[in-house]
Amino acid sequence: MVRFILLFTIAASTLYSCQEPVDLYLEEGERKIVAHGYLSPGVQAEINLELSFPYNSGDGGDTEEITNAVVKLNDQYGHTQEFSYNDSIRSYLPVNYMNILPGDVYDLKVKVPGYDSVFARTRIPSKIKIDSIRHYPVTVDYRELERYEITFSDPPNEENFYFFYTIGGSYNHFYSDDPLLQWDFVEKDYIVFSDEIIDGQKYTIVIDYFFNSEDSVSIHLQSLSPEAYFYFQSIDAQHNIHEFPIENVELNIPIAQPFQIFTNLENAVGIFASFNSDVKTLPAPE
Amino acid sequence: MNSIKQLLLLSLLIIFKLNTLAQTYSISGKVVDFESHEPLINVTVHSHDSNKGIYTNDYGYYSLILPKGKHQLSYSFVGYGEILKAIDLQTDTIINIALKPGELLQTVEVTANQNSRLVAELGAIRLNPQLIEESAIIFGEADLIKYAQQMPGVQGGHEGFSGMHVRGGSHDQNLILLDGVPVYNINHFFGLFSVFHPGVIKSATLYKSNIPARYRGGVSSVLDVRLREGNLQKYTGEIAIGLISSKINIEGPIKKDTASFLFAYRRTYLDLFTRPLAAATGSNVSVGYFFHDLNAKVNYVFSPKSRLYLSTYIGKDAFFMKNKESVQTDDVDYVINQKSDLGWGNITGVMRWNYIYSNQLFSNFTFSVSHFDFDNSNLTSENTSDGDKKIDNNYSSGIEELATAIDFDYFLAHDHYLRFGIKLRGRRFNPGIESMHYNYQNDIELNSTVSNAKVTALQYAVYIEDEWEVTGEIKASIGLNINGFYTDSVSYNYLEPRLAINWQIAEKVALMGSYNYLHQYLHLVTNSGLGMPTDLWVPSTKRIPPVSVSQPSLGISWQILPKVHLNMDAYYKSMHNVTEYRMEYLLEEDQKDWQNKLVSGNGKSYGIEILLEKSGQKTNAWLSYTLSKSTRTFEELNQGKPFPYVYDRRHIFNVNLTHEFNDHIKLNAYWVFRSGRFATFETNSYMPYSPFPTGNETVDYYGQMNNLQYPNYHRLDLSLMLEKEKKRGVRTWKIGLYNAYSQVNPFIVEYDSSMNRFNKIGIFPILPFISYHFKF
Repeated sequence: MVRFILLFTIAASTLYSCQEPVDLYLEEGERKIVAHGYLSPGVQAEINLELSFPYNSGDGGDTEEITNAVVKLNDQYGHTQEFSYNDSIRSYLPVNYMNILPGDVYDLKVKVPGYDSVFARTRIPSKIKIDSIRHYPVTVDYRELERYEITFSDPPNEENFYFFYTIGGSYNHFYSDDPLLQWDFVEKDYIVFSDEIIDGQKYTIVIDYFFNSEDSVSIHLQSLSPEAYFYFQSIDAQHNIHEFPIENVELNIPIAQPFQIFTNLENAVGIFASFNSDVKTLPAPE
Repeated sequence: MNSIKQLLLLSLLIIFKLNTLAQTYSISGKVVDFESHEPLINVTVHSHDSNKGIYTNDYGYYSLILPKGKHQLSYSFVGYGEILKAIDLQTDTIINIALKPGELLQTVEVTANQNSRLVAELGAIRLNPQLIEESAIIFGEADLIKYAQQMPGVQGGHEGFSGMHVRGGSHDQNLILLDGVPVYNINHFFGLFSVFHPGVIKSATLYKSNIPARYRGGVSSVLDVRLREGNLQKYTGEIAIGLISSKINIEGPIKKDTASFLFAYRRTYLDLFTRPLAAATGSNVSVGYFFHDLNAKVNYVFSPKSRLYLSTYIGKDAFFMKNKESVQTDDVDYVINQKSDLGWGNITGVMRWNYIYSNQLFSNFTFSVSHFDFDNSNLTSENTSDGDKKIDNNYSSGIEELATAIDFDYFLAHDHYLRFGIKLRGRRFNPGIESMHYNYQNDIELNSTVSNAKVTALQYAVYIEDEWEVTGEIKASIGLNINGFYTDSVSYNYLEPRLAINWQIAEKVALMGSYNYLHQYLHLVTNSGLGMPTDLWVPSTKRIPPVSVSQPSLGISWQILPKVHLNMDAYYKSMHNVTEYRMEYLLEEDQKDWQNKLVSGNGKSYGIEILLEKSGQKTNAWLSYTLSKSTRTFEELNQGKPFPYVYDRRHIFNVNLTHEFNDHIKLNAYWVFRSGRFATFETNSYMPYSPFPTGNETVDYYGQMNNLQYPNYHRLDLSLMLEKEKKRGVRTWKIGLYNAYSQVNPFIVEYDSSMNRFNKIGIFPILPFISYHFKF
């Protein structure tokens, strides 16, 4: 019996195979206008317009820029900023000046020949300053790291959204098990979070940083408009839905029903959003 | 004068009729297994002289009303030898019968033949417990749900998983009852196994055409599973050792013919290997998974008229991970403790009391509790010389149910079998509570609890059904279920008619027709369709109204040859307020309310089902074929245009062949073919630009719902049973191959942009299995 079982198992295992190419037909679908625009006080606005590429356009896709669009930005006071296509940066840049102010509302209008008009709106968020930064060396998992404690004060009784990232250190990565990371213990380039659990509090983000050749680190705390936050969150969620098997409570499985990325654009995909940033630059530790 | 004559004539007719009625008597009693005295369900009791018949109810009880005089009665049941009994009926008579197990007569039994079945059971499929046990699907584990998936009109979801999709309905549209109590999560190991212990199943009946009025809750099907009560005569049992799990079941008398018990336990042992393996390799990490099931039952016969049954089911799945790390360096000492637990399970408890008021009136009182919960907890604590840190995160969801019911079987006359009763059900839904605690060096402290409000719902159902023999050739089952559902914010009340007609157009041919109008107050929030523990049962609300289904069916049953039987059914099912997962990303505020995750729409499904069976002494075979189409239309999905249901498979073939070479060797071969399922695949992609370092990974745009059809699915399973009589029992080796020709059946399909082609990825290639069973 034992010999039989052994022979049986070996013979069966040789037939193992689990992946094969297959011919399937899928319609490409209509190409969509993809628009990206981010406004921030003191930063020149830039609107990027292109067409989405079909699923079967190979590695990296086949992006087609839209160069003949009419692009306008209106503020709540009736001012209009017009844009024109710039070949060198392959985006639309303003041809006249308009002041971008925190708290103000701005409308984007885009007309691409052959497509319905695109419209979106955003309100510029207030700046939220970094109050203090404390840093000191620590040893985690046998690695010598620099720990940074970045403190800021979340304004009370209002919804605030943040994008936190650093430039410098080791490939911009940092390590953190801060709960604002939603319990994700892997290394990160950035954190997108809301003030849901820290509303009105003075809060300290704790990150560990590995330095090699860089001589400084800049720490960025961006206050985001809601649509920017939802856009980044939905991108993260769409990428994670194919991860297996368990991330916290939600089971991200490759057969889960997919969903569309958040957009606030009418007749297009992408985002028109705004942010307001505070940046602190520190020298690398000795 | 004429009027006086007419009145006299009418009076004579009435007296004659009453006299006729007065000359009928009842023959009632219980039919049990000869060896165990276990009551047998659905035994046919038939009077050949008067061509009247009845079958035993869920407790083995029957009552047949016959005219005074001599009768030849037969008692017959699948897998048992027939008993013939001659009686001279002069008064109400009690006849208890013990049937001896005999040859296995039929593989799958579809109720249609009027001589042997009553109409209410039209379209019901009785799944043979012996064949369920002998079938070995994945890893050699026999499984009721996977066996049911082989029936016409029924299909599984993803390969290897326990989802059940009946006639285009989603898998939450099935009411699955264990000894009369709903089981809310029927899955172990994310659906690879179901919760039913195959060794103790007494009967399993699947209703998908006519769902009798006594059932309510599943708009697509009802699967009524009854476990054995326990041998009243002697101790018996079975031990089974498999690749994944081992099982034991034991039953026997506490007091012979008065009280008995049954105990069944099953457990997987993956964790029993992973724990010592981790210790042996010096790893600090302990990871494992197990599931276990416990069924325990006792019953007591107070008198021939009164019997009490108590039973419980406890099932649990658990994943766990523990890690403890202590490090001492010149600069710092620290200890990290990590602990994660993911667990889910059902607990049910049932008390049933049978009481026979008279030969014609049987009653059953039920009181039950059912509970399903899902818990996930993660705890990390870090104690270092730089300070302490603790993160504690918990999530729980579930459903609790308390129910009571009283059901009556009233054998009114030879042509009317009434069932009526009332059911009350209270449920408490926990749609998810998440709590978090974070402490860093006692400087930073966060406490947060996010929860959906718990909802309490009350439900009642009053039903009556009559199985009516209209003429010798036509029988009808007419039923009505009046039911209501109440929560704090909403109430629904419905009348649900159920109708089935059976017309014996020739000796061996019967036509069947049925119409059902059904509602369902429970919805499953799921975005996988796999049967995950995170799937959430939620009640109907104002925004998410009850699902309603209207389904007419037509069928024909034909005994082509003495051992060859053909059954065909056609159906058209229209569904309203079915739910799907919303396709947009939800804003944070919106994610907190589960109602926002669902959209309601309509669906329709129609098809033809064919089941051809051949039974014999040595060889049994059946073939089933389903031709069907199922679509969905949602205002908020797919631009309001209809799209195919995810399991809209045009063709499904199942072929099952069992051959007994001799008393010791039996071979089973099962082959399945299904058209490919549908999936939503991206039609376009784009690069999400931002002024921040968010990377350069593209994102997808989905143009249409379920726009990609997967390749066809087919596989062959083979199993060989080697039986040998031993001194103390019967030993069986079960050896086999799942997916014998190693077909790569797609679990998912991915697009490989570097090669510009699709790849299908399967998760179950050829899988050999072996298991050992010893019955004593």
